[in-house]
Amino acid sequence: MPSSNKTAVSSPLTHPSLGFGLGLRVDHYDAILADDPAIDWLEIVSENYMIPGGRPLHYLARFRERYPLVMHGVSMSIGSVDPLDLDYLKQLKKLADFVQPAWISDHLCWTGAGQRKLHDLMPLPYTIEAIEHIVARVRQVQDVIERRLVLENVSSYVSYRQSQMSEWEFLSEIARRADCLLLLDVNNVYVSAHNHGFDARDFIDGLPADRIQQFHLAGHMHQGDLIIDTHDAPVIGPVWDLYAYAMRRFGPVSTMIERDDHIPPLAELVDELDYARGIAAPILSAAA
Amino acid sequence: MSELALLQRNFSSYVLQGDDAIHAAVVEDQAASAERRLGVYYQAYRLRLVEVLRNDFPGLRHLCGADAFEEMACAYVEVSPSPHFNLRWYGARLAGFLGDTAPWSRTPALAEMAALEWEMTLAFDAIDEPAAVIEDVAALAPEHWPLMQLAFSGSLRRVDQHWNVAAIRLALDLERDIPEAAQLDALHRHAVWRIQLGVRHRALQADESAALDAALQGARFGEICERLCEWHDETAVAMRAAELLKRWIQDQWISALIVLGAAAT
Repeated sequence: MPSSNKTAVSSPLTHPSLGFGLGLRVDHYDAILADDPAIDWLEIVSENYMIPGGRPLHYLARFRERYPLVMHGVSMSIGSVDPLDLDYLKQLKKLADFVQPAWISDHLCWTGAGQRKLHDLMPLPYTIEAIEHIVARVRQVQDVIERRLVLENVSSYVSYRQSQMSEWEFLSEIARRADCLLLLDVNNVYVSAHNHGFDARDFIDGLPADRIQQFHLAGHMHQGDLIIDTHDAPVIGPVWDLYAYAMRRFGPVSTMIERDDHIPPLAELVDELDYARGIAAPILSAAA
Repeated sequence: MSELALLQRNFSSYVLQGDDAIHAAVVEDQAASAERRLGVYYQAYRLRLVEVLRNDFPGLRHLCGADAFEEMACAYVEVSPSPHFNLRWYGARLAGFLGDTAPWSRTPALAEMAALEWEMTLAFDAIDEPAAVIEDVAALAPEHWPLMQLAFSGSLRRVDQHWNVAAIRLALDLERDIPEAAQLDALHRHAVWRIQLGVRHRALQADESAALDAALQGARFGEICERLCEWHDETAVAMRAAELLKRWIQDQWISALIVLGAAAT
């Protein structure tokens, strides 16, 4: 029955925060299952489970029973001029039907062209042409996966002469026109700000607050004049500061730490996650 | 061609072959030159693919030695662009590359090890299927035995070897003393499969490999027994066939016993 005397409230675009999570890595399978550590949710790399069977899917089924899961891909190549890989999307949807993830993310980048896969998160030129190309593809993907796609900003080491706007304007315009969500990788903002000489806070200030679904945090490596996004070290102080800045701007957003190399014992990452909780708590309390 | 397509084509050509047309599209500043910036992607491509090979082919790395393995892997990367979105498939052509390309082709053990390890990779994440049990065999009516066909687990694969690479890989996995590479007196036939979550491989006797190959090609049990007559006299064939069937069931190679026109298990 309609309730005519209630004020209509529009639903938020984003899913509620899941809290503080970790990227699920093989090294930690048994420790997570045995220790039941203070992890609110897990992010899986989708491609690692787009396989017929065996150990990875066996463990995935066990984690699915215990934790909220989020699927994070590296191969959608949403910005490529190649046709969308329908086999990839079919496998992604099949995995999503099994995992029932809270959401599905990938990167705003291209990963190959001419049917040659580069297996890297290649940066896009920030142009109107690219926006129009990508918006149409995001809509196509969202039709297949039957939910909003979440797109992550990548670390980059080159920028292009043909770019017509900033990266945050590019991200925002795609999110608005495709009606998708954003995964803000705070470390990637820091890395790209250093590599390209922009203010990381301008990036964060320029994003649409109502479309930020998730934060990523990670470590990186200085390599001479550039910073490389290596995910092989703890999060550093200035990235924590930037995380606090993002938390003040966007409020309670699901936060997750990635580690892909020099993977430490689980307890170290759980401690690092607690550090994130410690940063977020007073900010969220003050805002409440 | 659109500007976006041209940029991606040029950048791909740079990463794959070092073509420099992309340089003009990249912003240079005081922090770093275009070459320096682009080089991050050029190097990362090679490092990533070599790492995949390092993880998937530990036995091959042992045979080559660490430095020579890196050299071989880099050579493979240069001639083998990745056609699949999933890096899990990148090593599919490595055994063929080693068999066809000097200097590695002069050491046949390398291609044989790569072939064995690739089959192990495929067995590792092959589809999960229910396994037939001994009780399924006991439930078969005697008249159905000769007509019975075997459906095999998707993880089961066959490899033939002239070198002792299976022994080397087994010793590596079990952290035992690793034998030197040596040519075998005769062709060795091996099966690779997954039982529960672990990948295994074992040698097959000549009669077992012939029976298995026939069964994999759809031979009925009666035909498998005929095949075994090459090794055993008539009085022993039935016993040997039953023994093999029992072993294959225990090893979880068989997913179902099929008798056309009768209830399948």
